[in-house]
Amino acid sequence: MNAPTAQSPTTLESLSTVEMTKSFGGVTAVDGATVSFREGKVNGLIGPNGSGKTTFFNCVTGMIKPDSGEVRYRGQEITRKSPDRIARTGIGRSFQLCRVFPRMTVMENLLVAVRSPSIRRQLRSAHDPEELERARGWLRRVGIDHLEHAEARNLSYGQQKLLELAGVLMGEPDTIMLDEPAGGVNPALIGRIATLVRELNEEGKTFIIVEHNMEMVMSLCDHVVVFDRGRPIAEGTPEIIQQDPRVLEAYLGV
Amino acid sequence: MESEAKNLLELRDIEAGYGRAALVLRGLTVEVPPGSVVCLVGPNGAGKSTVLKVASGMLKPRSGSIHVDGRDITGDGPQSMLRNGLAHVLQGHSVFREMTVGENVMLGAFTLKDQKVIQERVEFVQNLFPIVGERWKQLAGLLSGGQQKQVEFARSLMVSPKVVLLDEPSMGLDPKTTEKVFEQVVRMRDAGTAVLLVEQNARRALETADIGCVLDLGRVHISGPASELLADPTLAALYLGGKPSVADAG
Repeated sequence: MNAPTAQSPTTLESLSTVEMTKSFGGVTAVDGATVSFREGKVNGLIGPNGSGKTTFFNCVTGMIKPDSGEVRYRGQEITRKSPDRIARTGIGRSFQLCRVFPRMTVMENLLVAVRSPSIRRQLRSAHDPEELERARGWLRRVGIDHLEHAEARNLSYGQQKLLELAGVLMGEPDTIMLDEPAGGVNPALIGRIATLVRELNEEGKTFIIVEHNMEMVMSLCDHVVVFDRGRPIAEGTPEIIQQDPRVLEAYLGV
Repeated sequence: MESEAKNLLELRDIEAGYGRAALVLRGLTVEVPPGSVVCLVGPNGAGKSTVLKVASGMLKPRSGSIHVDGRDITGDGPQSMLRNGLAHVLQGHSVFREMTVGENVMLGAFTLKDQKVIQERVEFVQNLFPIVGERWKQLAGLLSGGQQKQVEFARSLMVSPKVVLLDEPSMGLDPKTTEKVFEQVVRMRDAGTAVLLVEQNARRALETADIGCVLDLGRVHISGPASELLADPTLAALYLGGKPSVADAG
């Protein structure tokens, strides 16, 4: 019998998958992956190029449908639900190569990112002073409030990534999935993103982060899952992961 | 004295920008001597990628000149890039997703005629990036982001360029592959190719580079031996981030 744990009032299961599989034309990108992420923690998902990390993200967020297996979020099955329905359960995500609307201003990019059930409400939000203020708040937090009126395409790549992150935050998700947040971003900005993740985590948000910058993963994550060939090969604290011979061989190189 | 060009690539007094927006580069000069790796460092938005675009002809400068191996190529468009001896690996992904890996790689060889040379180059890049050989006949769009990056490298190495322009080569690559790419940069340099490199992983890049140029506000702010830039505490604090390497005592 398990002893009741006293340290946390809710050990809610965050996002998890059971035996999830997805193939593309003969290549099995995700291969029977059973993974469980920790609620209220900063989770890392690492692994070599082509080990299925982005496909895993795409399957759980509904961007593509898994061939088999299950996706669960806080006890609720969300397998094969549409991306907007999954977003409404409280999961927000960013993309490996960041996606912003290039010809819209920074503020416009945020106002279309709101989590509203109807297009009418969406359009109205553009004139809602409260929404504007909320958007400004997130811009201040990611540190690009001075660029509010700039067209997104005139932002540097690192600034676009911050804009994308602000867009994710506009949806007020409980769980935030970031696909290579440090990729193409200068070290000073990486520091800012890491600080922001830590603060938001302290405010109760769960993170699942795919990242190759090991310094960031090791300093930021509470729990790390290592993928190889479409399934987890190891998991644990960063300290444990760093010493795992399978991880050294498959990923870090010896 | 008349001699070979001092620099394989030379950008002089470049002014450049996009559309009617303000200038991004304001009188920038960068020199890349033969057999050297030059690394551009600077904050996001400093104009690093723009320097590479001007060098390869993707963006025409408003003023200034570009020389490759002593020859003036100012005003040449991107279609002349390979013939001018330049290869440019762009930031982000630029494979043709609906074409096979092999077709993508062969695009980098379209100026080559000799089948034997082409075959040798194919073997060379497949050896360097095994994934390229393993997935040769598959659609490039089915590869992961990091694997696509390796296809782009393979494509850029099909011709033996005089100068390789690398924009964020480590972006999206796992640590093992990143090390391979930096090893390849060193190997290219040792074979006489010059490399102009933009990399956010500035510390790692400067460890590989011979010369570092710190860009700020569209100009080269400071340049010098990469090892000296690495050792400079002010620069490290401003641009390099992270922990200084072990060799920073004293």
